Amino acid sequence: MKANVGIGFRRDFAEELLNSVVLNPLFIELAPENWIGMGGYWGKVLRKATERFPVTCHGLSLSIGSPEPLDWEFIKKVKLFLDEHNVQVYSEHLSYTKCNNAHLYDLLPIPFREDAIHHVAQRIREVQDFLERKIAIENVSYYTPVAAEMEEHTFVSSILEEADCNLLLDVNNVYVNSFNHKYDAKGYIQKLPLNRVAYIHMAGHEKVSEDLIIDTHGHAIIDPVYELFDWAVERINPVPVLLERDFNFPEMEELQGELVALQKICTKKWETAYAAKS
Amino acid sequence: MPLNPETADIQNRLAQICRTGEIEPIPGAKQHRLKEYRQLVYSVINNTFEQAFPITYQFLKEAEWELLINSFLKEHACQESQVWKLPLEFYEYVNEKDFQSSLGYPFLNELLYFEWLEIEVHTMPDVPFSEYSIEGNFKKDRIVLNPEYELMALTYPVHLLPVQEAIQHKGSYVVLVFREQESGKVKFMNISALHAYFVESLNKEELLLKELLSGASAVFNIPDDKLLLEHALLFFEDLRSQGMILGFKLNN
Repeated sequence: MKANVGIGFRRDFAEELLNSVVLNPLFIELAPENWIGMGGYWGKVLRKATERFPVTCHGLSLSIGSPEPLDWEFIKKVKLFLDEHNVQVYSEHLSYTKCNNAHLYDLLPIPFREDAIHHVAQRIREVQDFLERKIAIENVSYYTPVAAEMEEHTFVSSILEEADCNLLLDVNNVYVNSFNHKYDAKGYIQKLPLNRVAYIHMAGHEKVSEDLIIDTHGHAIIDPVYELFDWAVERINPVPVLLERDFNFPEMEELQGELVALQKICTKKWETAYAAKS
Repeated sequence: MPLNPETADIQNRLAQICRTGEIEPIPGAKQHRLKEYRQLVYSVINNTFEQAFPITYQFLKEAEWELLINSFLKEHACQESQVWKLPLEFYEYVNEKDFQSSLGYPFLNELLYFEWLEIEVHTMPDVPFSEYSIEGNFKKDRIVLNPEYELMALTYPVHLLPVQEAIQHKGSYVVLVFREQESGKVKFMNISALHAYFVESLNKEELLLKELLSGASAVFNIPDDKLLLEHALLFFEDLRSQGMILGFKLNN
């Protein structure tokens, strides 16, 4: 099975990526919100990118955990975008970004509670029905639990099962959360329904104090996160793996180096396993 | 399935902290971490507007800028699901609350609108236009206009001068803001009301020059046809050289 490693498509390096012989992702990931309705220069860049690379999409504004109704006008636009660009994987965050009728443009943690499980699962099912595809839900990083009545893994797993959706396993987020909330990262991953993993995210982060890491996507992936990825990949069927880098962009060689490092781990674990079985 | 009111209330309270920056205790939360969420939300909004309104950001004092950002976050419920379109809501909010009066900058609304319009024209969806030839004759052929433009009326020429100078030149300005088809770059042209009439008329309909001038003559009460023709031709040549006129309609 060929390892499939891609990169988040950002305007900051879009031109370089499209003209580069250095950076060679096998696919790109777009945030639909950043591109829907975009014409002119960036519309052309988008067309070039989607003609050249296979595309996955990772949403920002679905606000699946919000107390208020889903925004169906927005979801209709997302569906058109997914269809237009032949997007095979659409993922979103297990969080909320809109509340009290106001968008907040960041990922707020949903209380780990029974009623929230049913609420979110129902909304995921509605979105999946409308989009006519399964979506992958990402375990998000969070800096404090809020009114939790159960452990995080129970909350995430219950939603995945009840909604019958896929999991976007963000390995960096697991690392960040395990550090911030002092739990065992591998133990956490083992308790998730790994048969539902359809997509993996990897990224860098920033340790801002002795007891706090912020999930910035602004630095290179650190070795302990690679190690956790290496360990996790062995327990997961082959899926696309994405490198996220949102700012503080290095030279293309450095980004390619990270893609190659991820590719090597995937190849070692997945291609070897596949060869052994066949 | 609706959430329990208590769960929804807890979620609302966290969202409120993000908007106001006033940290109120939330059950089961590490209270000292709540400020991280406020900081994250504030950063997204602040960075978005710093990039969208670089001239305004440079011009205002730090405290004035922060006042606008904090007030916007606290008082305005952001409706836009695409954050890059949010600067329009910021402009509308500052306008509605009349910060230009309270801060003593009578050009503030226009400056924000000018900066927003550059974003809007740069990113607006592609607009279809007729097939055209770059070869043609203004006097005989139908003109194909670049449809990707906006017109803006200003009292202060913030499109021409630094803000401190623009305030000394209060007047009546019409600005054509358009997007070059090839490069996607946004251009600004200072034009007259008559020019604006030409542009709007051609955008409504691909007119022959004589049809356009006949209308202009009546609207602006210009009896000298020769003068009007010469003036229009000069303007159209300028528009063509700048990419605002694409060419001449095929098969007319």
